[in-house]
Parts: sequence; structure tokens; C-alpha cells
Amino acid sequence: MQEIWNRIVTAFTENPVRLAVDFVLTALLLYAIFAFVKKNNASRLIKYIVVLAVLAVVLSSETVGLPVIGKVAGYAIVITTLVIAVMFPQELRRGLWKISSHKTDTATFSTHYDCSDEDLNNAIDSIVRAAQNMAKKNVGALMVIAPKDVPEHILESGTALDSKLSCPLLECLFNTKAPLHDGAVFIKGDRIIAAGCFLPLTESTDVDKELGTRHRAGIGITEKLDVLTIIVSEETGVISVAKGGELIRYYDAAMLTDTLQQVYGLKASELTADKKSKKRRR
Amino acid sequence: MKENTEQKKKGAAAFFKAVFVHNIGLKLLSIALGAVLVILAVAL
Repeated sequence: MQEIWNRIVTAFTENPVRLAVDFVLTALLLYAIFAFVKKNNASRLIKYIVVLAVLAVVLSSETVGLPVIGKVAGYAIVITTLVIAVMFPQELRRGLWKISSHKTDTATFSTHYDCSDEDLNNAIDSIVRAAQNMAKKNVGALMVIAPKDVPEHILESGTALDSKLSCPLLECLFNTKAPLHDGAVFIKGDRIIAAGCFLPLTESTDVDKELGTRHRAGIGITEKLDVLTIIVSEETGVISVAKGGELIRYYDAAMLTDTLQQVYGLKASELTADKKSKKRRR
Repeated sequence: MKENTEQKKKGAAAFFKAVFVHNIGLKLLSIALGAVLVILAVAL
């Protein structure tokens, strides 16, 4: 026992930095695995990973001297992680996509549209008014605000439009007697790029069972792409917004305008304009 | 100026929440297990 204690003290006094780095990296790696496992409703696996990690270290150590079984425990962790990755490929793909997207501000899409801020404000006003009107009339709607290029196969599932966005046009598209109403409308800046598009449904089990296919599709696309969806419920007229795989319900006009302004980067641009005007005054 | 200060406050609050509130149980577990593993590796 005294010998073990001496070893710990010696190691910490001789190489404190190396051990600190080792500890930080181990903790970060473990947190990444635990967070991924928990997010995918597989919390039960956490205790197995904890046990396997401790076993791998203890058994493969010099004192215990069972390197084979220690290595097996180590491999078991790797295999468990791979199994989780295979079980949740979409989440893994989304995670990798998020890492590679270099986003600094998660609330704002990093895209410059080919239109002025005034056009964007008009577009936001049209979207909000259309959503409100459709909510009042219990007309279902699914609008996708896409800042980047959307995969062709999703756009090709609907009808390409590339038309100027307006409130009456949005309401026409979602009119229950119109041929394009049963699908999603893709909006980019102040233009409607496509309508009647079919979206992938979310496979999450956390979605309220009261919510139908439109909501599932609205959430599903945000799990795969960096887009924001606005969903108007046909049954209740409730306006919901989905982003990053999460749905927030009961949006009113002010909340929706605020969210869209953030997404379009208008708030940031107003601040920039404010700074510029202050500089001019100086 | 006010908006800037408010945004900074919001950012700081969001950062604090992300570091010290969100998934705090998992973070503590990772830290504890990381420490245990490092000590075990050194001791044995």
C-alpha cells in the first residue's frame, strides 16, 4: 500500500504537467462519449463504459499483470463506441458536419444574401404575416429558411420556383386545394426557391405524439442541415420553430420576427450600422 | 452601447450556462473518472 502511495506521489512530483494534460484529455474524451451516448437515449451504456474503462486500466497495469484481458476491455470500449456510431449514423453525420462548418455564432446563419437589409425585413414581415394568417385559418404550413445550398435531391422532390417572396404567394402555396400545399417551401433570403418538397422525417422518440408528419418533417430536416423551419399546425394553428433538431412551440409574431432577424443576421447588421454611424459622428 | 452590453451579458450568461449548468452531472462524472483512471495508471 505504501509502495503504491509512493508511486503516486513520485509521479505527481516528477511529471505534474504531463499528468495534468493526460487527465484533461481523458476527461474530455470521456465527456464526448458520455454526451453522445446520453443524447441518443442510451444512458444505460454509460455505466458499462465506466466499468470497462476502469477494468482496462487496472487489468493491463504492471501490478495486476493481465495484459490480454486488459486489452480486451480496452477493445470493448472501442467496439462499444463503434456500435453506438453505427446505431446512430445520422447523429454522427450531423456532429461531423457541425464540427466542419466553422460556425462562430449559432444563432446566425453565416451567409450574405443577394439582397438589401430592407428586402430581408420585408421578407421577414411577409413570412410572419403569412404564418399568422394561416394559423388563424388552421391551414398547415411548413417553411424552411435555408441559408446555404440545399441538397439537390430535396429540391428536386418538389417544384423549383425562384420567385420573389410575398405573403399572398406563401398563402397560395399552402392553400389546401393547391397542388403544392402538401410539402415544404424553401426560402432563401427574399426568394422562394422551391415548393412542395419532401423532407426526411425525424426518427427521434422525444417528439410529442400529438405532433404529426409535418412537425416530424420540420424537425427532421434541421437534424440534417443547418436550416430553420417554421411549422404551422393544421389542427391547432400553433406556430412552431425547429432548429438543430429541437422544436419550440407557441411562437407569436414578435418571437418569430425576432428569431428570423437573428437568423438573417439583421440584428448584427443593425449593430454594425450603429457602430458605423457612431464612427462617422466622431 | 446598451445593446452591446446586453449582448455581452447574454453571451456571458450563455457561456456560464454551457460550462457550469448544462450536463453538469456528466461533466463531473467525466472529471472524476478521468482522475481515477490517471491515478490508477500511475499507481498500478
